[in-house]
Amino acid sequence: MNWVTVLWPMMISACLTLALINLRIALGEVKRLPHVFFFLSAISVATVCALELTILRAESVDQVNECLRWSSIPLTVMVASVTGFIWTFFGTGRHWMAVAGVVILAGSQVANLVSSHPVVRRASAIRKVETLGGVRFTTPVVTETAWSVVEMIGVLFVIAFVFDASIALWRRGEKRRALIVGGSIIFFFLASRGHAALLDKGLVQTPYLVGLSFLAVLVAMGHELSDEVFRAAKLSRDLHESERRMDLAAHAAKLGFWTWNLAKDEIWANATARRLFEVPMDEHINMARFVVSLHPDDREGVEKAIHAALHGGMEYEKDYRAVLASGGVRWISARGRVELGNHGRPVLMRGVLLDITAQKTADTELQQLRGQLAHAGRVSMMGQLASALAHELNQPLGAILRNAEAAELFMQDPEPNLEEVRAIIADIRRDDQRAGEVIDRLRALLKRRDIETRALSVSALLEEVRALTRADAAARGVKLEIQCAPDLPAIRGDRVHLQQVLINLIINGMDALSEPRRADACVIVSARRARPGFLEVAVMDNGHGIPPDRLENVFDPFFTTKPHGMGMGLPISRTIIQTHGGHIAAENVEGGGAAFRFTLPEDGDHNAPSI
Amino acid sequence: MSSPTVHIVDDDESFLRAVTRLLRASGLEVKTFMSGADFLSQPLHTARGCVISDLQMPGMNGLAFQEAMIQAGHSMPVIFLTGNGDIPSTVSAMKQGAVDFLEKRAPKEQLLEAVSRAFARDEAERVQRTLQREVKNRFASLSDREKEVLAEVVRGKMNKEIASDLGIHERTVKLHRTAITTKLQVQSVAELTRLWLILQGKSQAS
Repeated sequence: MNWVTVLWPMMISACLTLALINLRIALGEVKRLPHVFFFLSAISVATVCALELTILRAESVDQVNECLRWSSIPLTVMVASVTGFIWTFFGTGRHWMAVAGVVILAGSQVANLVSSHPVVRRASAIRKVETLGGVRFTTPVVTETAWSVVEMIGVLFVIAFVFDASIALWRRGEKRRALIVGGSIIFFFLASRGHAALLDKGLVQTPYLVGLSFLAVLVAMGHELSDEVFRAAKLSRDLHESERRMDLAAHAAKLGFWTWNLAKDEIWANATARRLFEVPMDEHINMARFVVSLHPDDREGVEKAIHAALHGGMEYEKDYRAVLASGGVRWISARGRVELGNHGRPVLMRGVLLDITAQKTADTELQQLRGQLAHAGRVSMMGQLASALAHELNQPLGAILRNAEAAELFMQDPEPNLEEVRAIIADIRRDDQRAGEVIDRLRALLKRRDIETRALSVSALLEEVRALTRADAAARGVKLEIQCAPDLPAIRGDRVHLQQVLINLIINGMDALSEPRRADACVIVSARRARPGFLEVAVMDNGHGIPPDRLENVFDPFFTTKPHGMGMGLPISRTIIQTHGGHIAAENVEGGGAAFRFTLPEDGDHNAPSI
Repeated sequence: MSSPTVHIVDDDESFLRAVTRLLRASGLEVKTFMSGADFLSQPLHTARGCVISDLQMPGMNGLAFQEAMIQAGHSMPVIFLTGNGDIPSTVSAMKQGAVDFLEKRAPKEQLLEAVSRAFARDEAERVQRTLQREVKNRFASLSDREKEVLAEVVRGKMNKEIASDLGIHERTVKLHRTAITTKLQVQSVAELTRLWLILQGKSQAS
């Protein structure tokens, strides 16, 4: 028992341990090639060590030569796998150098292996040497051949490759790794080759230290590899931590998470999401089950939004109502994103849910209040329109009466003109319908209601408003002109509320024209396309305008310049326009008169029907 | 000369048709117009009868139409139809000489009565205008001095006073008075005074 017989087996077992560890990692890891190369390196270093130990204890030249011959295999594998390790682990260096080095080296080693005597390194004799601690061991006297030079060239190519790869890695900023792995490989390659050369020439008398050198290389490689493993472990810890933080945030924000696997039509939902829908944890959810849980009025909208996201939109965003098993309805805001698979096809959707019931309830209350205010405004507006509207009704009613009286007269004739009577009855019917339409319009305006937006045609809206205000304008001797640009896109809005705004502005304009009375009194209502996505409607009069110091206040509640005004028309109009996502402003027109302009968003859905 | 005709002005086609039927069935001549401007654009100065107009019309409303009619020399009486008793416009229309105000849905008897009243008034005014024209022609034949004397006579002055006022002889005054009665074809001072009032537009033909 001496240090040689202790050290070498220790090195072998160390190598085997490292090899096994990396084999295990290689089997489990995604990025496994470096571990595979490490495993091969470690196995071959262990073999080299074993051969070295055999040489140390050899008794004959033939025994030594046999070992030198077989060393070709582990040496080749070792150099090749170290090269492969650098190739895969660094991802840098000129590959042709690596290939050339390994091929040349392998060539020399194959020659060494197949010839009857080792050609790269052949022992011509053996010597018994005594070294530290009085240990005696065998060392060969080696004759070098031309193959030795070939092997040396191969090794130099490999060293050049490692150097090249390390420099590239250094430049990329990974200085430590370049230095430790690249540096140690180059150093120990050169050291072991140099030491072997000295040993072969008999200049030093120590055992071969190839195995030991490469063990050091293995340690350097292993250090970096284990660093990767540690990093992965830390990443996993961080991930776990971040997941917990996410969970906590989701819990605090009452966020529900969901993922919809399209191929399997499976929806995964976390506990919060299931609570929002009142779905038990163990119930299987798919798209159909999800849709069924929605409020019937919202189903189509949600399906449309999902469809749009899947067909190019990518983002999904929708507020909807979930009908709960316990009764009642919960407002939920859903946001999500489509994730594409390898072929660019959607494979899943992932997103979050938030309970917005409280917010929606508040919104609804606000809308109801707005609705009531608007209703009050309409009632007072109708008061102003009353006489004109009475006229509007009297027109068909008067015609009906005259027709009926005429018919009576016709019928007194012994041979009544039935053609004429028929025409009269047709006229009566038509006039009755006309009167009914007037009443319907009034009823629609006077009804208390919340804002309901839909696609509207602006020109139709302006025509309806003209019908409602025409009589009033005629009574006041004001010319009412509608100028609607052709081919205007539909807008999104509430018909009755927008009518109210327009009627209100038109009445204001006509009020401004009443004193002093003028022959060319005129109110112009025009609609045109403003900035992209918006239409602008303007109501202009040629009256006295708004006093400049009051321009700022016209939209303030209870601000009025009229003797009998409430001062609520314009604030209500502003509220209505703002609820529609538009903006209203007042200005004076050059040459006298005021102009009120407001914007309305175009309807997003372009093929929407008009009113 | 044409027979008396009801001229209806209303912007509502259906109403126009209905009123036309009723009035024609009641035996009246009817012409319809969709607006005041429509009426004014036609040469109707010699037309007889009356105008029935809506008070509330787009463009030219009833009052403006009445004003324009008078300026254009139309003399037919106007009956306004209105939905509601709008007092300020009623007063204003009355001042301009509207005959009647009717609710749009007043019974046909009221409408027909209003039409016949308007016809009568148109007729009377027409007679009056004819008489006035005739009297004017007769007066035109008087000399300046005779006109001066006539003005004094109708004030009830004696021949003596007239002579001294005008600085002429009393006999000359008598000669002038004879010439006046001959030219004006009157027998008495009372008759002379009546003609004088007609000329001044202060009296109706009896």
